[in-house]
Amino acid sequence: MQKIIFGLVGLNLVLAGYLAVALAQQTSKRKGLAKAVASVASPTVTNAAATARPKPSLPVNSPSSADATTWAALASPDLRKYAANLRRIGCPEETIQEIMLAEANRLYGARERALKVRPDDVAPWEEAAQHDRRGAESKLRQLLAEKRSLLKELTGVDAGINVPSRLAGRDVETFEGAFGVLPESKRDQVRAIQENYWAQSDDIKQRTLGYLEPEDREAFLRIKTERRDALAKVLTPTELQDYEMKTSATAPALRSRLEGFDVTDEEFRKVFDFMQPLDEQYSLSRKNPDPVNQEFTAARNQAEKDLQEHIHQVLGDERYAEYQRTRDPVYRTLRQVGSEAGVPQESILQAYQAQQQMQEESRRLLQDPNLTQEQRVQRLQDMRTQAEQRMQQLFGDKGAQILERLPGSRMAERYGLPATRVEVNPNPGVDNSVPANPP
Amino acid sequence: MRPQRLVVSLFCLALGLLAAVAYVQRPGQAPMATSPDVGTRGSGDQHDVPPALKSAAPNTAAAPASPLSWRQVESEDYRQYIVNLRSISCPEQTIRDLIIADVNKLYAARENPLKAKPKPTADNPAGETAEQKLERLRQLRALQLEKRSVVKELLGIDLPLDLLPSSGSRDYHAFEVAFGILPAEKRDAVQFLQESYWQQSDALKAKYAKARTPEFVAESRQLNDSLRQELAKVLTPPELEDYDLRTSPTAKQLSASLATYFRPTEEEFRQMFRAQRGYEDAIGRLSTAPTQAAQPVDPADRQALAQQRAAERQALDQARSSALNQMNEQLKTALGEERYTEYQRSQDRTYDLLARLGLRYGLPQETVLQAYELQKSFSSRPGPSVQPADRADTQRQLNEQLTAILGEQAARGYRRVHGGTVPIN
Repeated sequence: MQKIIFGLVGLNLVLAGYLAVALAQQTSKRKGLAKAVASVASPTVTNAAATARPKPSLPVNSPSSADATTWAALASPDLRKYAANLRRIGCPEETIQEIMLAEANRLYGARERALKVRPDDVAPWEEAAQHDRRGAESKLRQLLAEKRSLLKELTGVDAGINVPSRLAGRDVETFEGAFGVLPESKRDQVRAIQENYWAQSDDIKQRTLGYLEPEDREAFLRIKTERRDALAKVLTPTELQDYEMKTSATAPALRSRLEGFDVTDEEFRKVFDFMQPLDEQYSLSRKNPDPVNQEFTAARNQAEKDLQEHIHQVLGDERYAEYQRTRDPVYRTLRQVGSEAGVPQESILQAYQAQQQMQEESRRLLQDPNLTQEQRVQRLQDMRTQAEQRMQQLFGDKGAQILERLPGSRMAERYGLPATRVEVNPNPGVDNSVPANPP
Repeated sequence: MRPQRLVVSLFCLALGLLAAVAYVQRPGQAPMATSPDVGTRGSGDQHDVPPALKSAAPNTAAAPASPLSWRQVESEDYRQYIVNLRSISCPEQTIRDLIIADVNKLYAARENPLKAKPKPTADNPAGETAEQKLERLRQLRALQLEKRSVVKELLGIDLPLDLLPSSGSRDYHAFEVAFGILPAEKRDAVQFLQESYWQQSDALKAKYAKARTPEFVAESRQLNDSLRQELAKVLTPPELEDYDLRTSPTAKQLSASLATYFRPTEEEFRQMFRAQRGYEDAIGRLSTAPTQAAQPVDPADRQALAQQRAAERQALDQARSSALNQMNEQLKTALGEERYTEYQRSQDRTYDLLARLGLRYGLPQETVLQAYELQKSFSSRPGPSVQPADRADTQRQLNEQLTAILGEQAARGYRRVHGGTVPIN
């Protein structure tokens, strides 16, 4: 009995060893390819021969008449069937993905090219009118979404399809980045919600061509609200906020408003949450979309005041005052050059106040009809001298250098005025440039 | 455990292992293939099987007697894999899809680290020096050539080389398209010239820290001229023009500006492109030409300096204006009077606003043109000297007349995009 047991143990060991060797021989193709690569790789430059474009047709096959021992038994115009056939014969998933991606590209290729959006598909003299192009880009985006969805269904993975970085005026890459960081289980739903919104938004834009009537604005507001509500059902509040901060137009607009101000992440999020719905309703980050409508304009102005009040509330008195100063480029420059020179914040604030007084005085001079050009030049020259003295008091030897770095000297020189910074606009967004012939 | 049970268990295990071995070693499994010699390459016609591969025979063990199994085609040797795929009549296009996708994946692991600029470190805050960048790109190109050679060997086709983007915000995709439409035998040469130009141009910008000093402008112009000369050696004049039409910012801007209303024919576009290029060359020469001061001015005399600069600016403006007039005359001759008028209108933002207004509110083209002519007549009136009261009166008149032409709703839409009023001057 013992001999039989030893014999069987030995037999099992031999069989197990043989099986291990047989399995090892079936290593991935990559290893084989690497060998092939090593045998054929040559670093020399060769002249390129003609490379034909892929044929746009699918390998058509009638399964009923197909020879069961050839590829014809697998290929089908119905890609779902094709993938299922490949799976049935044990084709690896990675290979199925490669085949399906290539087939889907061919299947959609003709429709994509017909839209003439990509530079490959259109000669420079054939480019479409701007509004038609936008419509075509919108259709391409929808087509690509359909292709992506089909590939996901066929292969179970989000296959990388080639999408232009911008479509219909939107930064596709930004959205792709935002989709990419969402939990995998929510990604498709968010994509679908966003695509649905884009399709509706594009319809309104195509119809209105930049001329929005009040009912069009209402339609925009409705679809924006629907989009946000739909997202809120899929995402957690934090996920939604992160997504909106990455993709909405409000976030860069708010960042621009806060430029030069050291805002914390928490403060930014609080202000963003308050601003986004107002921005969607009143376009706070763009120009007034309906200046002929007094009621709307009044409501918009109130929304802007509410936003400022909210920012004040979030930042507190002291930081809000600093925030307001940072909206003035003169202060930003003074603060930058002052801190580089090691000047205390208190002196920077004094210099800024002096600068503001000087601007006010210079504006009065430039608008004074009783002064001649020569008198104006003289008075401004005197002011510059005083400013230099004041800056020297505050900043020491670096005062003159700091004054030099403040914006505004070129404009003054252009009108034959001394190179002073007096005409710098104290109110960003309002054009106060020096007129050629002051009244 | 009783000995009898142990024997039965071991016997069952042996049977299981035997079955597993039989499954793994069933027919269809290709044996390890030896590397074939690199033989004569194919013609490149995608429907031809490369001779080197024609000589290989399908795995006899793979001869299918029963319905297909992927194991019949799978092989760790790619030449055998291709032969096996062909033996079951897999379409050539699908074979290409599979092989190219696999080769790309294989090379991605080596290419990807070379595609990205290294992250900055304390020792190297810029990430890499100019020399390191050149070396990185050289290695990447060597890998691309190796990959192309592999694909050529396996499939008998030449893949286009991936473009080597330098830094900077260029429309690299437009260049890829342009390389793609060049005659195949010239593609590599043009691509190498263009890539070398980008690398040198970026090195130049780095050298002058992106400041447009006269030295930078001179060296930059020299580099451009050199590229043009080299391209002209490779391409015929029509090929070079086609290349420029696909890649130059001039063509891109022209294409965008003409697309909406002018809609040029190919011939018109080419004529306009040539005229625009001529104009830009003239302006380029003006910006690099040394200015001639009538008399030296004391640098301390600010007023005299300002006057001299004003005079120089005026001379430059006149030269620009003259070049512009010349281009417009050239366009008028090329397009004819009627098309030239349409072209001018198509470049006017006011016309664009009114034409879109017409589309939005369903107005006939005649109405749009009538409103456009009216708006133009008001815009050409003198502006700065008009007193506020006169200005308001002029705006009221224009608004009334436009409303009569466009209708109340469209006129309100027009005012809406102009900040609530109608524009004069």
